[in-house]
This record gives sequence, C-alpha cells and structure tokens, in this order.
Amino acid sequence: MNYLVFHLRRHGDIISSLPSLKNLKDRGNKVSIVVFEEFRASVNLVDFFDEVFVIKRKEIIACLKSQNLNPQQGADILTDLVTKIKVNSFTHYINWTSDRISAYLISYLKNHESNVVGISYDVKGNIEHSDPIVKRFNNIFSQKNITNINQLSIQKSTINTKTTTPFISLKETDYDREIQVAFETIRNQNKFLSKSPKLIGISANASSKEKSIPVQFIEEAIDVLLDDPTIVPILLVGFAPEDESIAESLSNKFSDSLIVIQCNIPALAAALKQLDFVIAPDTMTIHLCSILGTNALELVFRDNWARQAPESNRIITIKAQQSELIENKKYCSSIVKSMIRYLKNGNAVDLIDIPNTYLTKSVGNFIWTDDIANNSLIPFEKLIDYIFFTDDRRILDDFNFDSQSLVNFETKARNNLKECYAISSSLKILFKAFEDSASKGANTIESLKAIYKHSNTNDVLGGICSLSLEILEKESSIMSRSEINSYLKHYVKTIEYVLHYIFKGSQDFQIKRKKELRNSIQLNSLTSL
Amino acid sequence: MNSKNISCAKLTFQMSKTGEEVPIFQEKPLHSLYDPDEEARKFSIKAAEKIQNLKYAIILGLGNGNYIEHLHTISPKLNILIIEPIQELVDRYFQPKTNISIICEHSPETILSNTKLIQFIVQKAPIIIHPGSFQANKMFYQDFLTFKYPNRDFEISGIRYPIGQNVFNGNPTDFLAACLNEICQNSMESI
Repeated sequence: MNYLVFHLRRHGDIISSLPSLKNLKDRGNKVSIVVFEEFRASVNLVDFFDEVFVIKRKEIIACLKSQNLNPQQGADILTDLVTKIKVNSFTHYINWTSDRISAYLISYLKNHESNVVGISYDVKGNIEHSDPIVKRFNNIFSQKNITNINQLSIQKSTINTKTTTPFISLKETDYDREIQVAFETIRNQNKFLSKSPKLIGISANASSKEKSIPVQFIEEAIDVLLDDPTIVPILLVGFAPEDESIAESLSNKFSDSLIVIQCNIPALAAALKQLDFVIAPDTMTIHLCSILGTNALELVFRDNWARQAPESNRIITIKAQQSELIENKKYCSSIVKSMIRYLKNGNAVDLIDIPNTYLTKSVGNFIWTDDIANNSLIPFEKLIDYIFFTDDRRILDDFNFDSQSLVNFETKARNNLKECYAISSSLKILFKAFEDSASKGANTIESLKAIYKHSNTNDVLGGICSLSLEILEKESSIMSRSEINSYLKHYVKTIEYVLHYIFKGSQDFQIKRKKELRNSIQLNSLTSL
Repeated sequence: MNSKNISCAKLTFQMSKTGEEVPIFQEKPLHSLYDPDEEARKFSIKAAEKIQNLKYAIILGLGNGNYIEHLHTISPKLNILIIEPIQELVDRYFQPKTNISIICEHSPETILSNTKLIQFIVQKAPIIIHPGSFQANKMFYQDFLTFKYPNRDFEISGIRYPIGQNVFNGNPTDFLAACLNEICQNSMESI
C-alpha cells in the first residue's frame, strides 16, 4: 500500500503520531506525510517517511490576504504541491487530523480507486465519512448527530492496533554527540556531591499561556532541586521571546547554580535522550519524552484534558490548577519532593499524597490508568476504548473489519455496555471499601463479604468479590493506603479477566481464566515504572 | 523601457571628501559627500535597533552597499533582502553572500511576485528605508510601497475563483479553491 497521511497539526501532535505511523511503515507499506511547513522539523526527527510534502501555509495566506501581493502566487504554491503529490500514485489517503484543509485536498486527489480514511467531500462539497469503522464507533459511543472523528479514531481505524512499544528511535544528529559530551561534563562536575547525579530537565512554556507552567512553580521546583546534592536541574528553553524572558529571569534569580540550555527541536530531542527526568507542561517536550521513553512529570491545567491518561508508562501526569501553583508554594514543593522520592525509589506510592496524579501501566495487553491519590478509576468505556490498542490476536480476531464482524462487534459492545458500567461501579465500591477499612481499622473482609452476599457468584461483581476475598483472606485484613496500592496490581489482573470474560463470554473461559489468575497472583508491591 | 535603461542614463559618480566613490542618481547623491562610510555605520546602528532580534530584514536601496558589512557586524545571523531597481548599482556594488539577496526589478508588480520577497514577508521582516536611495528614487519606492493588486481572485486550470467564497460546480479544482480559502481562515482545528 502507498499511504499519504495528512497531518495538519502542531509539533506535539505530529510527534505523538510518529510511533503509529512507524508501525504502519513497518508493516511493509510506503508512508508519506503532508505537514504545514512550519512544523516540518518534527517530521525531520525520523527518517522512515518515503516523502515529506509541506504546505507553505504562511506564504499562501500572505499572498491571498495581503492587498500588495498577487493572490495567483498563493494558488500556484498549492497547485505546485498537488502536482508533486499526484505523481506518487498514492493508494490510501488518510485525513489524520480530520480537518477541512486535508479533506479538500484529498477530495481533489482521490479517484475511484483511492481508499480514504477519515473525511473528505463529495462533488457538491458535502462531508463524506469514508471510514465505516469510525462511523460505527460514533454510533456506539457518542451521541447522535455528533461527528466525533478525531486523531485517535483515525489512528485506530487506520493502524488497527497500537504498536507494541510506544517508543521509537529518532534520527541521529550532530546535537546528540554535542549534548552527550555537555551532559557528561555536567555529571562529572557534580560527582563530588553524588556518585551518579541525576539530571532533571525543566521546561515551562507551551504554545499558550493556559498550558504553560507558572514561573512560580518553576522557581519553587528549581529551589527544591538545587537543595538536593544528587540532582542537577537544567532549564530547557526554545527561541521564542517568552522562553528567552523566562531564561533571563531564572538565570538572574539562581545566578550560576542553574544550567540553561536553549535548543531547537533536534537539540531538544538529543537533550531528552540524555536526561534522567523531565518536568514539563502538556507540550511537545512531553510528547518527545513519550516516544523516547524518558521519565517525566507532566503538568496539565485543562479540565477537559483530552487524553485523560498519560501518554506512556514513563510519564506521570498531574492535573493541577495554575492558580494553586502560583499561590501555594507548599503544594509546589510537595509535588517536586514527591517526584524526587519517586525518582530515587521508583515506587509509585511516593506520589500518593498529590491529588489528581495519573500514571499509566501496561499490564498484559491492556493499558491501565489510575488516579493514584483518589483511587478512582477511569470510566470503563474508556478502558474498552483501549482494547483497540491491544495486539492480542484473540481479541483482534473479533475485529477483522469486514462488515459482518463489525456488526458482531457492535452488537456485542451494545449488549455489554451496561455490564461494563456495572464492572466500573463494582470496582469503585470495592476501592471505597478498602479506603474505609484503611481509615477505620479492619473492615475490609467484612465489607467484601457484605457485597458478595448480595451478588451472584457468576456475575461480574460476584467474581470480583470472590477473587478479592481470596486475596485478602490470605493477607492481613488491616490495610494501609500503601497496601491498597499494592493491591492495585490484583485489580488490574481482575480487569484483564473481566475484559476477557466480556469478549469471550463463555463460562469455560471464565473458569479457566479464574484458575490462571489464582496461580499468577503475586503480592508484590507495585512495580516501578 | 526597462529599468536598466533608465538607471544607466541617470547614474553618475563623485568622490567624497574621505575619498570614496559616491553614486549620484538624478542629480541626487545616494550617500554623504563628506564621509559615506560613517554614514553607513550610523545607518546600520539605527537599522539594527529596528530589527532587534529578528532574523530577516528587507532594505529598500543598495547605494554603494557599505552598510551591509556594518549591519552584519552588529547582527551576524541577519538575512537581508535588498530591493534596488538600478541595475548598474547592483552590478557595481553588490557582492553575493549566503544570507544576502537582492531583487533588481523596476515594476512593483514583478517585485511583489518574487518568491524570496514573500518568504521574507512571511518571516515578518521589517522594511528599512535606505534614506539616500529613497530620496534619489522616491517615485519608484513610493509606487512600490503603495502598490495594490487590482484583482483579488485567482485561477486554477483556467477557472477563476473569488477569494473567500467556496464555489462547488462539480469541477475537481473547486476543492483546491476551497482549500485555499480554508487555509486563509488559518484553520488548524479538526472538523
């Protein structure tokens, strides 16, 4: 297949998509990409694209909008681009970012043999949903008349599964060697204080003020980090005026103690490869950490945080209020101190005192996201959403994407939707019971027994209770908060079991799986990330 | 009549008090007849103040080109685009370098269609006037600075489209025209 992917978003989104697109390429396809010229640097981080086409958006806008310039010039820039694209005879067009610009271009480029994923237009300019999977998905999980085609939907329907590893190798650049030498020097200079000093990168600014980390937090963080002789904070800044301004102000405040590195995108990538940990807002830096496998703390400030989950299991996400970070120094330092403890011990329990902290763990074939401090669970339908990321053939066999299996899936999902919510509620009840027992003393087993009494051994709640009781009866009945954390592992297993139960739906499978689970359960504390 | 003919007919030279050659156009000297190099240095300092940290600048007028070196001493990474309609000045004083470009055209329409100029405009390059050149060739520079394209539409494969209005008549190029309009909306959001 010869794919052309239209990706008309910014650096961060492009970087996040690279592992999936690499996966598409690794399946023996030719993969080319169209991006806006100003975001080409993100695509240049890798070398697996067959062709990279750029839309000179700013030049087109200048020609069409400025009274002084010739609008024909703008039209010619675009027609030159489509001429170059056309000679490649692409078989598949993907409107990855589900935007109108891509939709119009694909509508012009496609012919009766082309496959289009995402949206395009018919000859009258009406939107055509050419992706049946996405259409059906919308029917199941979103309200009627709402088109909910997004990057994730398109990624799912195009790539089918998530790549087994979210990490990819970036192209080697001259910056790699340069940064490696520079960081080695920093490590050597700090060795008199610690055998292996940890280098922590801090990035404050995002594309908008709403997404950026307040300077008050950064100051507090640097203060705390500088107090620890085993840590060397490094401020990472770009070339934007806001970056230069924050670099100047922090350099003045911390004089010679703070290392500041001004970097472009390839230099930033080189730095992130060498750092032990990174603190950054929801921006390109975090997306790069995600694909490089760098450990990071991400601070997000939006209530409608789109992903609702950290991007990789190396990233901890804290959903915070900017105002609180500005006003509450104690809160800022507690975040950084917890993060340092976590960095040293590798134990997620160290993060438990910070509200709205999320981390993601890959367990088996599933991705599990937990709000650690609140012990609340992600909505169960979201977890089902993640099933599409699995490489487990047993489940994928249900999604061969032919029309019949699609209908089967739809029916199955509809039938089980109620049950999914029930499982979610059941788990919440269980966790609540554990919380109560932690604060009151020793009521965990009694709580579980009470729930179990009112449930059917064959239903989901009964199954979970039964399993939980077995675990708890073997262990001490008194649980502390940290012990609850160690039990998370079992509930992840439970979830895995439940998901298999839903999608297989057979008693035999349920019994077999239960047996497998009993044998596999080990009461280790939560493994380090 | 082209620009070269005009400029050749009216360009003369005179020596300054410091012994440097000063081009004279339409009887107006493009530089100080006393110390043109000092004048170029002062011009560069003023220009650098206007440019600040920007990496691109458009300069109207080449003169004898003395200011280029001064300007690069102050801002070594600056990309400069010079607009100079007098071919003889370009031939005599312009030395091509990687970060210096020149457009030598007489018609504002042709200059404003130059891809290089569009690239500099996109980079928000400030326009700096070289006073001597501007005074000597005021009409040209004023025409250039006030030029407006009469037609605000464009053509694709022989079909004309107005800017900002989507037309769907069943032609494949209708989508390209709609795409151009969408780009002008500066849209990056998903549908």
